[in-house]
Amino acid sequence: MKRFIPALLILIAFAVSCDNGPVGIFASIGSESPIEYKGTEVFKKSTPAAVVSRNGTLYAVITTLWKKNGNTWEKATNLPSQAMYATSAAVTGTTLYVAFLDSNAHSLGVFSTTDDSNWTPVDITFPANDEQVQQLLAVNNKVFAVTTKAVDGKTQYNLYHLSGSFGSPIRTGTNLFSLAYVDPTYYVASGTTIWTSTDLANFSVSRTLADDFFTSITSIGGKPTAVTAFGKVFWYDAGSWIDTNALTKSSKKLYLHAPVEYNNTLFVATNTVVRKTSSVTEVSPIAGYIELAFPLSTTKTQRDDNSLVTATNTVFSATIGGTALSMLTLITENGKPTLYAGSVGNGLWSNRNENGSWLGWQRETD
Amino acid sequence: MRRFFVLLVILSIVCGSVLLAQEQAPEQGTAQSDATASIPVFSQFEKGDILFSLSAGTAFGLGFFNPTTGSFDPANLKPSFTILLSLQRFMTPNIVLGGEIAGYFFSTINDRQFFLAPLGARIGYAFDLNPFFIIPTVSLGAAIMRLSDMGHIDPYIKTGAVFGWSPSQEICYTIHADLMTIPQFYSDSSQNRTGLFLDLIISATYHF
Repeated sequence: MKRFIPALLILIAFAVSCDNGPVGIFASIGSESPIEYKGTEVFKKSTPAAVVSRNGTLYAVITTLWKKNGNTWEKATNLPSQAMYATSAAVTGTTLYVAFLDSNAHSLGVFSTTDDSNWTPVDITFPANDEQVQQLLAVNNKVFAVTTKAVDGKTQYNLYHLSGSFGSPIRTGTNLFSLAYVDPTYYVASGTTIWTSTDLANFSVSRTLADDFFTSITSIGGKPTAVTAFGKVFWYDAGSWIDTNALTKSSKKLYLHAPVEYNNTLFVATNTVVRKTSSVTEVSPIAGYIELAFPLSTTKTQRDDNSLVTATNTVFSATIGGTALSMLTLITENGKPTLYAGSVGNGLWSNRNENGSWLGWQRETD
Repeated sequence: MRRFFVLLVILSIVCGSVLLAQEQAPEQGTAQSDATASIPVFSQFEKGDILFSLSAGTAFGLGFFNPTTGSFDPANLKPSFTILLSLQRFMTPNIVLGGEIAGYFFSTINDRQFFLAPLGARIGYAFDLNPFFIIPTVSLGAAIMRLSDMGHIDPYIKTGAVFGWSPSQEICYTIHADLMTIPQFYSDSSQNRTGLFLDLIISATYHF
């Protein structure tokens, strides 16, 4: 017995080395940088709506339009007349599109610029008086706008395509829209439905859900990939939609949105929100984001708590890991992929990848 | 609350050991009288003696060796609060063998909580410098770690020495200085690091 205990300890030492998480504990600690926030409390507690890049310059929509100058963010100057707030931004080529509001939160419409100084109204008739621009989307070098409108006491979402002008809605939906393009087809998701179209005029229903709804769709690896409010990942392959079983934590389904892919890993934001369908009301169990390794499969992504890789990058868990994400996007800066995450009420964060390793989440500051 | 807990542990160790030392004081006098009378060279330890240590102290992260780059990453850890329990038995008057379990409570520079719990076997060789003693030790075992929501178990080796003073046969006060090395392995070898930690720990050791 006396010999057995030390021998057992030694055996444990060399045999029970488990593997957990994409980031090593020591590697994670060693890569930390001190968080010294020198910005304003307003920026620190903001809820970013979007981060886009134009000609190597970063812009963020955080109540108004911000522009990154070096390592800090500055409010953009020389905005259109009366522009006080911004709701969304998108970039195609070298053109930045921003939806502005005046000081009374009345929509001023969508403006574009190629030099940050000269702003041009894209369509002076857009949006209609009873609509507010909620989203600008850039897909396949085309600009789309999503507006909301009150109809019979309910919110109706309208999707517009900018083709000279915004014209009439090309789709209406019950939730915010999300678009993906896989040549030659556009995939449009809103609520329980994904539509497809090749001309943005004629749409056909591609996939519908019951007791779940799509939150985002994007093109990953040449395949349209959508995520849902009740934890499923869908992708279109060989003529049909394939889906995972719902990703769960503690037997509760995750709310998924804003998927981005890098280096065979799918990053998907997840929030602790209350979701409702006709028959289900449930609170998503965790906030932050999850990572899924490619290739996706129907069985592989049916993961239990232990194998579900939750956000483990540096500082994330201790900082924004417990709060909801308002946005998650991947932008390549100077050749280096950088994840930008906007948190609900906890500011803007970034995590840069250098030489194949994520350096860790850092708070962005003004 | 945490400071209070630290203070409470240290006070418990110190007060408990002082009380026990006071209780044993007459015996110490008797033993010394007897020793003076009949045994000119007094050996502090004998085969079968047992040392039970209650310890508290701190540890410093020295750095994380990155085998991929061949360089050290900064430790980025604030000094820890550390508690340690060890139980050792003298196999000979000099060789001591036992086990240890410890808890290291670190904070990173950004206040993430890093918990480290080594559990292992310890062997040492005691140099008797009555009433002082020095025991160079080597420990080997498994270190259970937790950082935020990440967990891992890795082997560790700890080398160091215990510097002690025995005011009585039953109680010793010791200072531990140890270098702990923890190689951490992952299936993604780019995440492999070897952590180095320096312990400075004081103990009240019960000798029976």
